[in-house]
Amino acid sequence: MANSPEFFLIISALVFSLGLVGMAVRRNPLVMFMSIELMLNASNLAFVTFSRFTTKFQGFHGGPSDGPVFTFVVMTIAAAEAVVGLGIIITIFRNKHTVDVDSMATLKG
Amino acid sequence: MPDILLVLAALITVGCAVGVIASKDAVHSALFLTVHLLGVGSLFLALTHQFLAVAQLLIYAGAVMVVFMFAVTTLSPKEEPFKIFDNLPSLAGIAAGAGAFGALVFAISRSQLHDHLAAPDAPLVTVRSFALDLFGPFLLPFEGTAFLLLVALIGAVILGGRRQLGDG
Repeated sequence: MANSPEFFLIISALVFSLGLVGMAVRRNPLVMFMSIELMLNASNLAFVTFSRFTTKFQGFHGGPSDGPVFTFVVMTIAAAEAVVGLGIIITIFRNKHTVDVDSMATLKG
Repeated sequence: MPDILLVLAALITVGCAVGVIASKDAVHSALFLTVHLLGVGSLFLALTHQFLAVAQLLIYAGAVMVVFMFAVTTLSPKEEPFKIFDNLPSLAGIAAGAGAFGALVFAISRSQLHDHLAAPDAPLVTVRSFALDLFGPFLLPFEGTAFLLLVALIGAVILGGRRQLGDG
């Protein structure tokens, strides 16, 4: 029962939706970043699930490896995004001494 | 028995995802996120992708979470006004999340996934085959990630050393 693609895909959908809710509900930019990480992880889980269960692409050296390569790239992007994003948040905190996203509205017309 | 472990890992993963978005304290959110990432890593292991499980442990639960904890402790943000069911934007966000989940489950239930299932004896991704593929046909994206990390490093140095640059 549990070892089926639907099981993993529904976990992935649930985690993605929770990340979306966190992104919309929370006002703390750090927690919003964590919600982005949740969504990226959900997509990683879907990539790996499809790579494990479906058979469209069979890889070059045995085993479908396109899903893991995508996951690897997404992990790298998440790391880069976390470093640069948190650097930006810390710079904003230095200048404005607040981390409430609603107060960061300088560019709002 | 493996099914019970799998369901347990899934419950930990989803429960800690709820904890991330529902904790008042950002430190608690970060700790919940760490356990969530470990849960996703164990699901990778259940999907027979050993390399990704270890990479998840090292990159996410190790490196990225250290950066997050640094930021959380440096900023030490005051408790945000936290009333989920009071204001309209929060309700709209929860509705959007529920709608996204409904749409995704609908798409999963309508997909012809079982027409494309791999045969039980199809070759699985091993660490060896993944390495041969990553350093063979997928070498260009792999080098792209190296370039991306270099750009992120330069960006972090510029953001962190802004004050010194402005003085000079």
